[in-house]
Amino acid sequence: MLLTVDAAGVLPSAAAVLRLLDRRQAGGVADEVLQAVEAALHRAPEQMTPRVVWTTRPLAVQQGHLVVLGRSRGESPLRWSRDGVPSHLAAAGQVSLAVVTLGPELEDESTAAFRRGEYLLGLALDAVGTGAVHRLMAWTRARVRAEARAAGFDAGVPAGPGYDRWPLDDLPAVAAAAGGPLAGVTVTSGLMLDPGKSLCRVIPWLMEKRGGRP
Amino acid sequence: MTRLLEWLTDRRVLVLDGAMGTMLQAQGLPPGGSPERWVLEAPDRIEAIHRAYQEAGADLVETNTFGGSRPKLAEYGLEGRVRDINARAVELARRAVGVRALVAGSIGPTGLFLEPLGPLSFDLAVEIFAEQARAFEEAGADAVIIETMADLAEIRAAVIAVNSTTSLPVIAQMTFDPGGRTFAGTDPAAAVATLEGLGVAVLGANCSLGPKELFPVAQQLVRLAKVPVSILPNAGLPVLEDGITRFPERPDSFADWGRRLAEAGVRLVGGCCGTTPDHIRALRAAVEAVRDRVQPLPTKTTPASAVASRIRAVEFSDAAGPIIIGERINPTSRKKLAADIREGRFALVRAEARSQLAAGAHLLDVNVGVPAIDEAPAMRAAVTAVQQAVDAPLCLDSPDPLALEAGLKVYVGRPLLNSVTAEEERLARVLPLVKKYGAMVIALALDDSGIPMTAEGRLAAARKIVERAEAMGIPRQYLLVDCLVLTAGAQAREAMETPRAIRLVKEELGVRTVLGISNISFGLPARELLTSSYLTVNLAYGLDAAIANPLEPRVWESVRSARLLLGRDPDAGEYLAFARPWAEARATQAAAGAPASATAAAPAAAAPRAGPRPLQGAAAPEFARLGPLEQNPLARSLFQAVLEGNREGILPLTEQALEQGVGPMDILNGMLIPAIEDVGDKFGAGIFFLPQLMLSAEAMKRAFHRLKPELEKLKDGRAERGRVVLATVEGDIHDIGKNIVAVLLENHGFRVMDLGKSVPADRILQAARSEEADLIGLSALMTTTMPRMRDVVQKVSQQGLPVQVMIGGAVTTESYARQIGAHGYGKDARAAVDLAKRLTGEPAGSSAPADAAS
Repeated sequence: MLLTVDAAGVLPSAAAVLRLLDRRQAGGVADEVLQAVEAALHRAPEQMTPRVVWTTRPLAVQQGHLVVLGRSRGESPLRWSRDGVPSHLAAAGQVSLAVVTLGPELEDESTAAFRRGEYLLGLALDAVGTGAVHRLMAWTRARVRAEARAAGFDAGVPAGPGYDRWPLDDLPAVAAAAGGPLAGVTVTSGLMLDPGKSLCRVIPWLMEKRGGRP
Repeated sequence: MTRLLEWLTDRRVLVLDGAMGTMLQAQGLPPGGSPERWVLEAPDRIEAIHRAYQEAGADLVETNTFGGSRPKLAEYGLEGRVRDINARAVELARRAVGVRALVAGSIGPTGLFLEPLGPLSFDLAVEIFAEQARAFEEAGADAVIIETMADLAEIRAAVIAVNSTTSLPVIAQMTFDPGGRTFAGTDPAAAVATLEGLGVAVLGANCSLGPKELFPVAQQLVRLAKVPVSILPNAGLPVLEDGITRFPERPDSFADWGRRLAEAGVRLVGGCCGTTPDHIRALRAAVEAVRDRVQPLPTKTTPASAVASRIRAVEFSDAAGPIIIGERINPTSRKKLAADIREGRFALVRAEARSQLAAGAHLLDVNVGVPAIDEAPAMRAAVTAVQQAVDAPLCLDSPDPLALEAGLKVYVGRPLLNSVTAEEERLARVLPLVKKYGAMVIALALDDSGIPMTAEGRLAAARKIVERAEAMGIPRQYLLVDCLVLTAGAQAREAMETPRAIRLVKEELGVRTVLGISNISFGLPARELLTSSYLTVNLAYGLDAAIANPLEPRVWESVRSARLLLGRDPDAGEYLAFARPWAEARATQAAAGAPASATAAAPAAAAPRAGPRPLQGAAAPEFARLGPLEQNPLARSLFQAVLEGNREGILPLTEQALEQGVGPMDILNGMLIPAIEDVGDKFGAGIFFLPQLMLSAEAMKRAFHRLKPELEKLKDGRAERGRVVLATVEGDIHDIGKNIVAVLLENHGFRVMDLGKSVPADRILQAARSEEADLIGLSALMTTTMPRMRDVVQKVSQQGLPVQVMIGGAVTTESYARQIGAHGYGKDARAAVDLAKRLTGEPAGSSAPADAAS
């Protein structure tokens, strides 16, 4: 499922942006910092094209591996070593593979701000993007969770390649299977998602863990 | 009194039944089958389950209608049988338990989000839930239990639906995460404020967690709620065994937790997923053992005066007050805001919301009263936009009841309405909205004759509103009486009638109060002085809340001072923290030789916001860094401008220094660089944070740009410390850390060629060669991209390029730098600057660039 999400809906709060900016001074926030955060929050929605894409597939455990089955002949199974993957995924009957992105514009705007000498704004735009992309993933998880609940499951904690011992080498296949290219997300030779303000996660559907029928 | 309340009063603690779903599966319901279909097709089995629970000791059984809403039944093609199934389910339960137990019609989530998160409109959600509720009442249910709700918007719609269509008491239960919030972020306080406001008979939590994990949530609910609390845990946290979900909590341990819940004040205990009649039997026995120790149900409770957003609640109480309601989302006299609202643009509205909240506002007033627009859709859009932007509760402000209702429908949580008056028409149109949507409301103490000029007149108007509200079942605690502020410029003599009225209505009516405080200074100069003074006066008379401009620092001066003087800040901790910047600014100015007058030492006069400027507090300037020749007021001002990040002020100061004949190199080396080094030290010590570093860097850059042509006049060629080619390595698209390093290097006099991100090694070498770089700086965020650093170092070596390579980035280390043959590693931006200085032949921390003048 590919959705375009209202940018304003995933904007983080000013307080969240300040936290992301590493506000360590307890006494308060300087006017200029607050103004930069406000300016970034004001400008960011025009520089964001939040998109989410996810697909849900059955998961099986086979010979020490977790295997995400394809639902049709065209879809290749994904095979992950059970040792590297967070253990809660092994309890899932199926998983949603999700990619979210804000698109490249916000990062470009942040870089441009640095080049113009508006360092604080550049920094704030970057922090807004970081907050927004995580909110976008939270929003996606909620959507997946609603689907899961309707089917008598619950959506567990998202994880992904690069988490803990899960090799980052699995990232390109997961991102591709999730439909990342549909959302304009690719993986660089250095195994980073491009655009940078993107996330790739695997959301397990766990049996009746919560939200089920009483 | 309803049967539910009678039983609660009589028995003190009621035992509810356990799980239906798992029992049905045990009876043969296939996985994925419709439980509700069995109401029609296997009624005997449903009845048997109810009977088993009643015989096990349940005082109340729930109908098998958790998925009995139209959208859920549609999943099985049963959307045309909503009434049949829900009514029949009540009949089955009643037939099974007779009068030995109560029957509650169960309503579960629709599985759909309400707008704007999902496709379900508020009106449609109400219609869906009302359909179930009507069937329950017609079939003779004793109550409705709304359960397993994670979304405050959905449970609110469900309660309003039941209240609007039936007279049945409502048990409203949400489902919480182990962190004590619902998955949509609602905490117990927000749930209690919203659900109590809607008039539920019982509120509580069910599902998701076992009794142990739900216990802290239960304690919070008991502490916060004035109505009885129900808790229906799962039989522990589920585990997967042989592909089957099992709930591990055994009946005896489950019952022991039930006893603890009852002792903690929970009035209804039962079971959710995984519980069986055995669990309920054990639970019943445990409850019987403590029933006599449980306090009788109080006959009268005082509801809390609280409002809530989806996320959190704000209570109007002595301890929390005074509550500041931000007034800036109001298009009156604000052309840009008015134009935006008229055209359906809400970016500025959201920005106003964020800034007010950041300044400390507790609630935000939302007024979209642009002349000649349809306020209802504008209010709906504005409320949605603001709720998406911030997590504060809102005050919906309109003279138009239709606009108020439009806002109420999309609001998530419990809002404050602004306002009702003692005018007959207003009472008739607004109070029903307050009742239906469970809101709090501001009661303006005016009547059909206008604003009474005396305090006694305003008391009479307020009394009329309170009496009318209570006659409709709206407790007076849900009103905030506004004793009305008249403009001092026009009616100064009446100004003290307002605080007198506040005292009177509080003493006579026992209500909380609010004022739109800014009106006092309308038309007068220096409005903030008069407004804050008047706020202080009214706080002394007992004012609980003010609609004010939270961006005005004097508001907070009044609030902090009043809290101390009124005994709400007993150890003066809040006041001391708030006042510290004042004292420190005074000390700083005294140290800098400025006159120590009250005006000079008052940051509020200079700073437009409540927050202190970066200079204040621990960020006091270290003028000692200035050399002996620079110990003069202008040098100190430049130093301070960098430290403060004063982007506007630094250019005139730089010009002034040049006009006074100070050489550009002396300005740079003697004044600006010591300042930016002081900033760096403060950042390294954790006194400054990254935004302040950037702010100072911006100021520094502006001054440097002004000096650059002057520097180049002095010498042909390089007027810099060194040349650095910076890049994030190939395959790595993380930019921000490298950008920050570039900024600081430039600030310290280096010329930086920033090649950007994901730059191939060959391009980096090419740039280093063409720019005659002294240094290459490489950044990498990931272990997967670090090897590209080695590629660059190897190529530099292979090609014999006379350039040194330094590396940095989250995953890099000193040892990695050594391992790949790099010349150095900077753990952060400041360390990178020191490293660059060292590599270019200058001691770290030196303020005299070795080659800047050469």
